Amino acid sequence: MERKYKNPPILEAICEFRLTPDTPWDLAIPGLFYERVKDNFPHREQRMVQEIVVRGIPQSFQHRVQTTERVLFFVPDRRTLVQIGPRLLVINTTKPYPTWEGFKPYIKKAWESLQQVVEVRGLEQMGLHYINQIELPSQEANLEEYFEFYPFVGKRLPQRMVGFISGAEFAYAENRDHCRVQLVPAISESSQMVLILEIHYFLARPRAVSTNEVFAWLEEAHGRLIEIFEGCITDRLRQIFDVTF
Amino acid sequence: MAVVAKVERSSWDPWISSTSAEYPRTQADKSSRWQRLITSPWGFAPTEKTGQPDFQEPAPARADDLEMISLHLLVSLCEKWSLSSESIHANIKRLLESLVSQGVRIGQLRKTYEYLMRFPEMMDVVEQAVSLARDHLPAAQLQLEVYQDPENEDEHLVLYARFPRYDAATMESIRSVRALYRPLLSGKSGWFLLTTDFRPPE
Repeated sequence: MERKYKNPPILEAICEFRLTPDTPWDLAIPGLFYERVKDNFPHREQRMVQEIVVRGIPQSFQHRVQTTERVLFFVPDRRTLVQIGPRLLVINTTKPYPTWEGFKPYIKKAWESLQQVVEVRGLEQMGLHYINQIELPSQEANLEEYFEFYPFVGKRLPQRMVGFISGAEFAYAENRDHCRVQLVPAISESSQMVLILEIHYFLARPRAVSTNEVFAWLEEAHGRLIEIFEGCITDRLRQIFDVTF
Repeated sequence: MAVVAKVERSSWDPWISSTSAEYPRTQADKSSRWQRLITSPWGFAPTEKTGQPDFQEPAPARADDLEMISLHLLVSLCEKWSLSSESIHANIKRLLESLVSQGVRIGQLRKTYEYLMRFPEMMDVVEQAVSLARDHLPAAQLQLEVYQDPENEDEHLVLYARFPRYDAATMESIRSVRALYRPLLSGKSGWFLLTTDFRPPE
């Protein structure tokens, strides 16, 4: 059963859809999309994004710089937004997290609206990504008291770390989906130890999920994310988040 | 303009540092690792550059080059671990890290971060305005923070340019930079101002 927290650590939740290259796209789509979502996302902004795609090949590197326009649509309080770019749909929600039941309708609205204006031919990638900011009571906090996912340091090594990184990738659904988990320290202005726990569940095999299976996949992904999050933390950390059951 | 390096995974910086630690680097070069990669200091240029009129053919790269081998390792690592670049949090973190690496001071880190979380479309304004200020006001120390109007709840980003000496031309030079970034504010809900508080650099 999903636990509820009074002080959940979620800093941002992101749901991302990348459409297959054969999906037609043109500059009119953000405007058509806006007509369908403006009741929920009335504030429209835009920004330019320069993407640098770097690929290593045997004798050299290929890196491609592409400038694209990203159109952003915000809800009135600006805590949830939709980003539209070429063959890209992203729904972000920031702290305070509106719960999955609150976030899901935004995803549904955005995805269904996109399908009304674009003939989506497939999903290259799709992901659900949670960024948690966790504040421990002191800079000297012992990680193993709060986490079940942390860097193990043997007794012959110095026990005091000035920095660390802990990451793993897990396979699900017969390797159709992957989940990356990462724990790193964050910059803290206070005397507390602040950590970022990121959990990103994504479709690892392009086109392995059809466009009409998206919501079933998202429910499955969300369930896995909860399992993994709960698997990463101890009851002591749950007390900090003020677990209600 | 926001720059998103698709293979970038900034949180893996400690590993990235270890692969690049042996590279010769001048004291004056305070640009970030990814800025250096992007600006092509190791002799390779974009192999494809869309929408850029100054596109140049890539310089040849040697596979036995230590830098190149290390870069392959870096790219392989980043490809393996690249998560979504579409997180607002991650993009702000990347922007602030980039500004700090350029010598820009961030006042009220948390407030600045929170402002950008609320107005993420301001990220490219900040990035370009800082770049213009660095180019046109080279003597200035720059500090980015959130200005809170004491008489109402209005707040906006402010970039203070602090000079060792002030004279009659100081404000004029600041105004000339403002004129360059002002078009970027069109249609944005957030606000940004380059100014000075006439304090000496710290």
